[in-house]
Amino acid sequence: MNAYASTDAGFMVEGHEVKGPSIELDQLSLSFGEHQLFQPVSMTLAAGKLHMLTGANGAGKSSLLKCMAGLMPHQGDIFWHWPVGLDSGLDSSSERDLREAQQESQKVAYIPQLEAFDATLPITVEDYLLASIQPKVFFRRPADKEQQRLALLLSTVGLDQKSQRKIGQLSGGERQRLLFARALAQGASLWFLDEPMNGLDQKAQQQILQLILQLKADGCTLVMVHHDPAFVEAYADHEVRVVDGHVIDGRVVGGPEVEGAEVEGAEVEGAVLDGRMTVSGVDKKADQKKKVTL
Amino acid sequence: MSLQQLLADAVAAGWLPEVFQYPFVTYALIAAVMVGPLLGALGTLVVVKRLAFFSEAVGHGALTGVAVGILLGEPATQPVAALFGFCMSFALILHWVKSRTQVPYDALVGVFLAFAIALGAALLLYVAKKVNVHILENVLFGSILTVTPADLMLLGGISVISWVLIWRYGNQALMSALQPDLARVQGAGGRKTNVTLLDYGFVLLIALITVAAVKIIGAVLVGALLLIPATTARLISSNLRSFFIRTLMISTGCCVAGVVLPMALEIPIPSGAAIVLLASSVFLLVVLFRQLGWSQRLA
Repeated sequence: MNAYASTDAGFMVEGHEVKGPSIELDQLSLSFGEHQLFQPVSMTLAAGKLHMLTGANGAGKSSLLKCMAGLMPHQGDIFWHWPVGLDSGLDSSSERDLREAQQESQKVAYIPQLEAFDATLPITVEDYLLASIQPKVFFRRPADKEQQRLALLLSTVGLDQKSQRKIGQLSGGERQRLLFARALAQGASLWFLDEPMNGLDQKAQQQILQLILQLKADGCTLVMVHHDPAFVEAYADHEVRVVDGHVIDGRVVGGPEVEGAEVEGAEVEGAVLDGRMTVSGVDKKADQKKKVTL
Repeated sequence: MSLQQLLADAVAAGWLPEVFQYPFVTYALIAAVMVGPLLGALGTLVVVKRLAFFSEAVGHGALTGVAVGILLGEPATQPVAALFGFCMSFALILHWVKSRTQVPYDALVGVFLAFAIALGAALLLYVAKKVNVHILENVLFGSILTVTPADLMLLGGISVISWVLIWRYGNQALMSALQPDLARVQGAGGRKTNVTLLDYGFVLLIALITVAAVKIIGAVLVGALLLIPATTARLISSNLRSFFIRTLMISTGCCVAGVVLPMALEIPIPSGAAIVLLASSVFLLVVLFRQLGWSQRLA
């Protein structure tokens, strides 16, 4: 029995609404000159799940994540299969509306390892978010509507008291939450997280964990690099291990794995990340190739 | 009624100082008012992108561009095509090499800068046979005497192009400079972002500005004005908006004062040198004020 069922906003997997795509790796490998970081691998990461990439330091987990996110040239293909509802709640005759709705829901987030900003850079939390999420050029005053949106966003990640703080003066946990706020504002449903809790104290780790669990509950697909086995055991739906140059499709931690490419009652739209870091996909309805640069 | 006639009438009526009866003064001031905000605006991005050394190098590369232009038969006072061609090639090749090597960026810029200056010095020997080398000083260090209406048209055109690009792509350029990988995946300014294209576009813009500002500031000193006002404003600003506005104010103020003061005080120094000396003085004063603990009030 297929676990998926179409809804207005996405699909249901075992009573769990899915907004994010599944990720298909097709003979994916990564080489630096003569050195092959990992052997070709083919697997599918199911939609709406929390996948964790584990392995020793230097094994290539972060590189694998960057490949999946389209940030690193590689060999083989990567497909993001976004769930496209047949009954989308929109007038299906309006192809343009449907496409816009699809593009709106097909946002990707990337949370890198903790990185420091220059402490003297005169960019506040508010400046950073506004310049990230809206087109009005950074030296213009934001509209009231944007201010309200910003306040809501900041309170979601617990940074509402820090809107005028320079980004270089934020603590590690606050910096990571700022990155979450940026991605949340864009409505991302596919998340790539590269050890987002590294270097954070326990309280900050808890705050980040809550955000991640909320995203999972919202039906996003999350791929996260993590090194702590206990954490993986506790929270991962699925583990991918990078060991001695091999990418191993590990155990499914939180129940049986489902194949995202076999969605019943839905069209599956592909996005291929090729070696030149572009995304191209075949729209099966129009049978035309479209190319979107990352 | 022409602008010049209007000014002459204002001088005759005693509304403006006598010095405005000379067209070159008007032209120089118009150029200063256009070039100041432009260099300031781009300077904010130069500082965030840490391209200060790069913009200095492009300016210094202008020496070679000028020499090439004169050798190819362009007018000695206005070798615009060769200047733009060389600065653009210099900037693009440097940026292209940067994306394909592991050499640290500052070292790479240093190599290119040394090459450009050495080539320029070698070519100057031949240039000296064709024109009086002192003419070059105007191009390298700026001279208000040589600004013409044609220069103002060129500067105006480049200013419009630059402001449109800043208005449209400012947020994307800023966020790509700060976190390129994030901008690649998530976009910036609410839009999809092509970080590589933005990088090349910015580099081209710096080459274009160098050409636009050559008459008033001089090719060699343009880089300094891209850097100093923004670096100064950064010390006394608490957010992006104040950073941007203060950079523009410092940059424009120094450009106008650098044109007016040498005339008023009858000091025969190139306008570019005066502008950069003023900007550097403002920077040192701000540093001094900060040391004295007055920075909180400024910020």
